[in-house]
Amino acid sequence: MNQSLRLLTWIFIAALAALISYAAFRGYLNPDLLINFSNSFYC
Amino acid sequence: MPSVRGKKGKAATRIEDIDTMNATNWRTPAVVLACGSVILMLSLGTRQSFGLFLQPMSSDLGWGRETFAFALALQNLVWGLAQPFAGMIADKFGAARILIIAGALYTLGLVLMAFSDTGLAFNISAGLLVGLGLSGSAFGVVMGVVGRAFPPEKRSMALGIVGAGGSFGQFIMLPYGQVLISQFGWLAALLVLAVSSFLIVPLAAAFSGKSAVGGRGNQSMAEAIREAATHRGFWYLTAAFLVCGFQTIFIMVHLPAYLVDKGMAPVQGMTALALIGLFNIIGSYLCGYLGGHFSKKYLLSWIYGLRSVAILMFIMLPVTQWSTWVFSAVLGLTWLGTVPLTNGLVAQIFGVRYLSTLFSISFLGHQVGSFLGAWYGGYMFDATGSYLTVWVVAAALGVLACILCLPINESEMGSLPSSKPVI
Repeated sequence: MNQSLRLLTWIFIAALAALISYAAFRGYLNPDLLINFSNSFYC
Repeated sequence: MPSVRGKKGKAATRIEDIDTMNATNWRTPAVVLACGSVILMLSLGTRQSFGLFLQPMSSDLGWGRETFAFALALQNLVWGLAQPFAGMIADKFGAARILIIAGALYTLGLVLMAFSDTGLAFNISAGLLVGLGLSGSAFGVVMGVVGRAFPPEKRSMALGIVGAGGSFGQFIMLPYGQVLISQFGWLAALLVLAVSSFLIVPLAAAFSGKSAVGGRGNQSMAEAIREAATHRGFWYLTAAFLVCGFQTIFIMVHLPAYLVDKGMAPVQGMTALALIGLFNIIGSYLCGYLGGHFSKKYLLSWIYGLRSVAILMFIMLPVTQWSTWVFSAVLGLTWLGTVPLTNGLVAQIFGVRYLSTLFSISFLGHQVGSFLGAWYGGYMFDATGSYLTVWVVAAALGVLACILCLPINESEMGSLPSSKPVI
């Protein structure tokens, strides 16, 4: 794998991780989770 | 791989101790790392979403909340108790076998959860089967193989990356589970989770083959456990790990309620937990990276100390949106960062041959702490109407763990005189 392809791969992975993280974070704040939040966490 | 022991010395031997799964086949360290990360993501993440099923399942099946809560408590107990045995089997017969069995049990547990209509059936599925599945597919087994697949200079970072995979799973699987329940109902959601957790089975192929790493002087497993048992540092590490379990689970379970008690909106509780989850991914990787460059015991000491300072400042200062966010970010950065460092330190001191076994014994301490943290938080709140005592206890335990890490002798056991116990 040459240098530019490697760089592109990392940029793609970072962008994907950022997108999923954003979507997940928004998911935490949606009404369904907010209503159930007290049930959501346990040991 | 031919041993070079005796030709290049012990340090060189450890570098040569990279598993057989490199270069000669497709199971390169990078593949092991990627598959291990996804396995941890699935096993830890799926479990994280179980709490979401409490309300709809209890309501539909006419159960009291205790039925559900007891099965989940049983799950954690089974996980903790079975973990050392899972580690031993992985070290003795190969990690792939235990991962395949664990993946199958996890899947079976989720399927049976969906069709459980009595408390007993739910205890067997969600409690026993999923607990056994977790013991064979979580940190102890996966990190043991990853630890062996990388040379010492890269091991800590690799453990940090695989730990970050588990953290990422914990972060994203909760909203994912909620979407599934909202769209398809709880029964179909459990079946979808069962299918996704079954991926652990094919991914286990990357872990096939027994460890080719030689123990010190052909050390047996029993000798390795005895050696760890006489090493005071191992017990200090386990005690500190117990504190980690206590603090994290207490905060995870009780922080949202604490914030509401302090007059914050429920959305702040969710934001706090999301921030912890997000920063946990960064923290897991960062701690693993730092562990490769600095003393792991001092890093662990810093983590426990930092947590105590953060807890004390959080309860002493007025609780605001910003103080909650900063507290959550600091906690997140130190959340599972203890795992790659503890695992890496066990590998550094005792070698990687029985890493799954020894780390799993330490992890049992973590689970005991988890149980105590969840229970003591609720007990003290019911008894006093406040979490203040538990916060103070959590901070004090953090200081204790910070101190306990300092005298640990990080030297490799083989390089120490074996006639007497060492710190």
